[in-house]
Amino acid sequence: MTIDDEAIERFVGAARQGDPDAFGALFDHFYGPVHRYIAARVGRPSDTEDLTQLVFVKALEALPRYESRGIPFGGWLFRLARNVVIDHVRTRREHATLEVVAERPDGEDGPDDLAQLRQEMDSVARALRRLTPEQREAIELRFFAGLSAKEAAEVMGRQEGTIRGLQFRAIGALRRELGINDPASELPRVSGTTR
Amino acid sequence: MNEDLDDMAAAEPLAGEELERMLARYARVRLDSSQAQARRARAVVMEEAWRRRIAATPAARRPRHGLFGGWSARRLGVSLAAATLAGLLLGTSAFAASRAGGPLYEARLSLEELTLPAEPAARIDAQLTAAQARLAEAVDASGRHDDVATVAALDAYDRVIDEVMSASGPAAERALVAVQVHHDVLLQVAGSVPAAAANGIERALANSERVIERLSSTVADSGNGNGNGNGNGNGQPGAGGGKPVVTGDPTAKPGKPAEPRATPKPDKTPKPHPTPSPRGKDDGNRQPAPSRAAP
Repeated sequence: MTIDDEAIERFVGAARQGDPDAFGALFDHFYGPVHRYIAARVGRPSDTEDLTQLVFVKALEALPRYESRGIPFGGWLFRLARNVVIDHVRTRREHATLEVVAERPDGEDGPDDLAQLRQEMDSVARALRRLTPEQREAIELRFFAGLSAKEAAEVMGRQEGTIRGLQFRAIGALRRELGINDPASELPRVSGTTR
Repeated sequence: MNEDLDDMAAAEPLAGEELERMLARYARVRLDSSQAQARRARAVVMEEAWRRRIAATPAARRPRHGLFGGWSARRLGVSLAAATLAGLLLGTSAFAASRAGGPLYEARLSLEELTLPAEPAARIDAQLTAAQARLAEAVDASGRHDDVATVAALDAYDRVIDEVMSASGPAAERALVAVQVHHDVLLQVAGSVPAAAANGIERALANSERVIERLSSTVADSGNGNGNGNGNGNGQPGAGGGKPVVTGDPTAKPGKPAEPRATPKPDKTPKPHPTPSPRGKDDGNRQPAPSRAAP
């Protein structure tokens, strides 16, 4: 479900007044991105499912206290998601890794395609693991969750320029790791990317 | 995601087509949820959202006096018996038999029915709780692919909400909200029930829709009823005695002579009246205010 920022604000307002259907619309819009972000961070599918639900239940609890003040709702929600993941990792004994066991390949792929796909996915997973934690999170928020740089900055508690810098370096590292050519035209110079 | 990147200014570090494609495919293959997961999560979250909504309604926050303050002696007695039986069941393997679809399931439901309060509004609340429990049993059984238990729980659910249909006043409003949630949950479950339970879920959906319609009209009628009642009384001040009828009875006739007799005020006003009126009681009855102001 795709809704614009204005509609999101409208749904947020109605959900704050206790309208379950409005909250349902927000759930439909954000569930996929939140699930992707959490899946990227915790790896284990069963944990991902539980934690994603928990994020929305916590959002339901915290929504009456939410005030926009220039912070996009997406940023606020993902900050909740981030805290849920941090709590989870803290309380879990074993370390959360990027090992993922669930795969949802496209239905019409043959065995050869599947093997190739798995190989490619493993390469991407390996390349992601080699990033610094902050670079990886920037990629997860920008590419997997689809947040804007401003929202990602809000989630990570950093400056917008810092996020772009992390993203810039992460992209370079991923390209090198995955053996992708690095045409200069595709990587424009980034301003204000100091950490 | 990709659209975002396209929209970014030149300062935005772009991943390039190939890396973007790889990351998008990685997200789709390894990070996306299945439809069943999304459906499950939505059902849980929406149930919580509706539960909060129901809890926030003033009627749901009605104070209770003491732990069993609202319970009659009969209900307490039956509850005690039920608790004792539940304890016995818990102590034996027979407890499993009282689960949905088990041989003791109907017996447990009958026992639960006996503990329902007699007071109509409280009874509706208790029936809504029971309906919620039956629904939870159906969802649970459906998740276990236990079609016998699913059908048993759905049948029990149908029976409970049939009774909820008779709710009126604020209880009807609460019932309407609750059954709408049930309908939502049933829709979510409909796609995943065992084939043998498909008829049961369709019946439950149809039944809940019927109850929603009935409760909606009850709620609408009670709103209109008040409006009409006021209108009738106000519309006939001369014939009706000037006092608005607030009974909300849409069948009340405006010219009915019984209404003014029911108002005690006109009878009392002549007594403290200091100036005797040559016209007698009739005037006193009709114009109490000016005569009080006369001295």
